[in-house]
Amino acid sequence: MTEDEDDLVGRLRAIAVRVDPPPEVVAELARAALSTRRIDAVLAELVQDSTTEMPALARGADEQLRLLSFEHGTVSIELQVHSTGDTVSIRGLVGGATGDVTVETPGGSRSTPIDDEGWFTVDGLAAGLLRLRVPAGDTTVTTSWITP
Amino acid sequence: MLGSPDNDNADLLARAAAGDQVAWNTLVDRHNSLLWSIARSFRLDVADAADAVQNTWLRLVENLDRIADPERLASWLGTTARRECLQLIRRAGRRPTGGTPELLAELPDPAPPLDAALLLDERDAALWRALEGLSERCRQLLRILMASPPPRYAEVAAALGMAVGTIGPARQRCLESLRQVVAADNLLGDRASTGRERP
Repeated sequence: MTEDEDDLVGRLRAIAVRVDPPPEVVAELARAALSTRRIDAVLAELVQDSTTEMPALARGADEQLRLLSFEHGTVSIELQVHSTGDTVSIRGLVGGATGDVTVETPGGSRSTPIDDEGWFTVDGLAAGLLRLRVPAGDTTVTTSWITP
Repeated sequence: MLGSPDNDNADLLARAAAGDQVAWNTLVDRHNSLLWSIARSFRLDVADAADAVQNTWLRLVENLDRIADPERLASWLGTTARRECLQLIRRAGRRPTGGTPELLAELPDPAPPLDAALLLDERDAALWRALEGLSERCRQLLRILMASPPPRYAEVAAALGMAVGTIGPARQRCLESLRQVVAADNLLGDRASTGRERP
């Protein structure tokens, strides 16, 4: 690379710093992100994701279905994530765990019971990152963050 | 003495994993500009770019004790940010699902990042405008290179999904194109501003 090129990139960088820097709120949220770390939960491994195997299962221009499977030890979490516009609903099947499933978003969390056959349903979630956790013995199993 | 500015990443990651906010803030301060530049290079508007950056940080929090090669953390972040951007673009339905990033080139710009009013220097304003005269790939590459501190080619390659070896030549080609666009603009601009006093 030549000196001229470095000069030009340097000028561009100086301009970007002035006209398009990361907003301060973005940095603040990033610093606050550390609080989402859960040392009491073990991360379930993503073993299957429909979006990596086939084009998204589009049902219409505005609708998408994503199938995800997570596993940790004897605990399995299978999800059908259905997105419609800005709303997300989840139908899930949990194996190896009972009780309540907690759906967590960056903005909060809510719980819903797992039924006798392992199923649960959560409707009306806002589009955006979410993750689920289920109690498993004396620990908690959590999925990674999912982008519906 | 220090081989690389990032050779303390392993230490910072370990401390952040143990809940050390100061160590985490150092990682954020060091890489936030790169992530922002990547998101903006995908032409995400400010709100979507903020989401893509935050999603990337959340994924790092989740993987604090699973980063296999701490010295390459910035590349890991670049790859993750790229995925988050493509996912947001897919979700927004701005392009057909399952498509390739090349399709991005056909998208109209939802929000040109140019705020020329902030640029007092006319030549800087012309240079910034000239970016829009480049191919989409060149504009994207140069926007990522504008991150501060300057990203390494491996990180740029990760963000673009390109091979590291292609970044140097592409950079050279794109800067040459930029010079040509600026030169052409200057010719036109000078003609248009004939008679106008210049400081």
